[in-house]
Amino acid sequence: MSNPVMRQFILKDLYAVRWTMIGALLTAVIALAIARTGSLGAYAAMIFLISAGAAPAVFVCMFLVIAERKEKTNLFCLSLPISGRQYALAKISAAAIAFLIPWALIAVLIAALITIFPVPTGFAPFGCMLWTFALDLFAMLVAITMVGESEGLTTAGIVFFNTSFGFYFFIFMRIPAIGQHSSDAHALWSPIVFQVIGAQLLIAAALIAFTLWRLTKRRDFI
Amino acid sequence: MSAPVFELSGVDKSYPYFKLEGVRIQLAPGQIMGFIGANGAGKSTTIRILMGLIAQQCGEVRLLGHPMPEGQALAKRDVAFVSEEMRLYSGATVEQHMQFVASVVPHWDATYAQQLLRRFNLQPQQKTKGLSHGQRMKALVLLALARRPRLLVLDEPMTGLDPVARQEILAELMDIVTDEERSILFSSHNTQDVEQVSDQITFIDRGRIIESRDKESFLERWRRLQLEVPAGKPLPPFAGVIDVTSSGRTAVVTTKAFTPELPAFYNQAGAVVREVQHMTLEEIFVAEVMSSREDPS
Repeated sequence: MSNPVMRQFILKDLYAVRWTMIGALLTAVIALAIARTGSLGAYAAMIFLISAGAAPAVFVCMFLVIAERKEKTNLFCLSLPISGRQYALAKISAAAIAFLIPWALIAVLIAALITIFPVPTGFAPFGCMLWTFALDLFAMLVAITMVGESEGLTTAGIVFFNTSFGFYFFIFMRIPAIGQHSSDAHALWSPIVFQVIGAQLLIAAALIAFTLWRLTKRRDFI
Repeated sequence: MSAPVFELSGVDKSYPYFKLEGVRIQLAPGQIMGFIGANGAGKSTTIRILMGLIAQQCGEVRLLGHPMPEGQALAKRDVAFVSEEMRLYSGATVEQHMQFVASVVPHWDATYAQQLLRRFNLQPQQKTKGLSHGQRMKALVLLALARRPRLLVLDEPMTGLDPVARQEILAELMDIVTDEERSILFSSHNTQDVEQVSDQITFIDRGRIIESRDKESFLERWRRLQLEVPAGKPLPPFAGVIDVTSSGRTAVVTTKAFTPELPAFYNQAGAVVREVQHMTLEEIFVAEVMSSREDPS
């Protein structure tokens, strides 16, 4: 980010959500610690890991976008030498960094543990799909909160966020190439896994591109 | 003559239930403009357009020579803005706000900021969620003044403040315009605050600028005349008279274009001029608004 004012805005936002990021990483560490305590522990660990990877999306959008708009601190920010578009871009960048840092670190941590310890990896393909799906949910929340300013839409987005993982399991675990091998000792990387991951990455990129495009058209920022 | 610090010409902005129409105002360097209007008159909308926070649908806006809203990031380097609606980060301290503003503006005056902290009796380590309304406004004014802006834009900064806090803030405002290059746009629905500090007065009502001129000329041109009129004798019309109220043989004439010829004119018409009164800014504002509503042209 070459603009020093935008850089300061991003740093301010990252400082504001530092506990969300730290909390996500701690949750992941706890999840990994309990993962090998039996089948119940593994199940709980999976829920914790999904939460640690995905929940920051909600917190970040709530703290950085919705709260700022609701509490009218955005009026204070926009009184400073930054344009409305730069402000929105700084906000999206800060949200993306705050979400992606724990998301990526947790992924690296899991990958490292799988590599070091002899654990079954049959769930890994579906885990990767699920992990990239979190990107879609993050991009969706960013689009909803940055572009749409309706509280109803934001609530609907969060409800969708909360319920979507259940549906995701339901839909993709029924695909034989994915569901039938999730308990195997070794991962089966079938083409459909890559197709789903690719599609999810495209959707996330499209949602972010749409958000940026809408913001370039916006003329009123209050 | 130096270029105006800001200039709005032919600015329109429409909302479903409100329309800002043909706004045309400008301010010269070193001047304080009082921007007066009732609640919902369009003051905040005009100011937000001036600051580039919302875009006009037509018309031209220039702020320190920069076209708005396109040039807002550059213009706002030398323009500070405080609004009654503005909030600070509740979880951050006054000092953290000062550090943040200092990191993004070009002319932060740390010494002056410390002086203002003491004058306003603000505690730097206090989180802003613990500040009263008056303290919050003082903190916002501090954050604006310590930027040493060429233009300070204040949108209803005195609303809800106690008299002491008002005077503290007004005194600081008066201090900064001792520098002839610094200007202030000060919006309020309270004419008393504005009257104390302004050189220029602009009235806005229902989205239209109804008058904009220097304060002295406002106060000089507006007069109220008490006349004694013979029974059955109507008062002849005179240019600039916007209201005539009669009760028995007494008539009260309000004019927006007083000249020494007016009393003589009424005397010649058979009336006796008992008194020629100056009007307060509030009386002028109310009369101007009522007159513009009766004759929107």
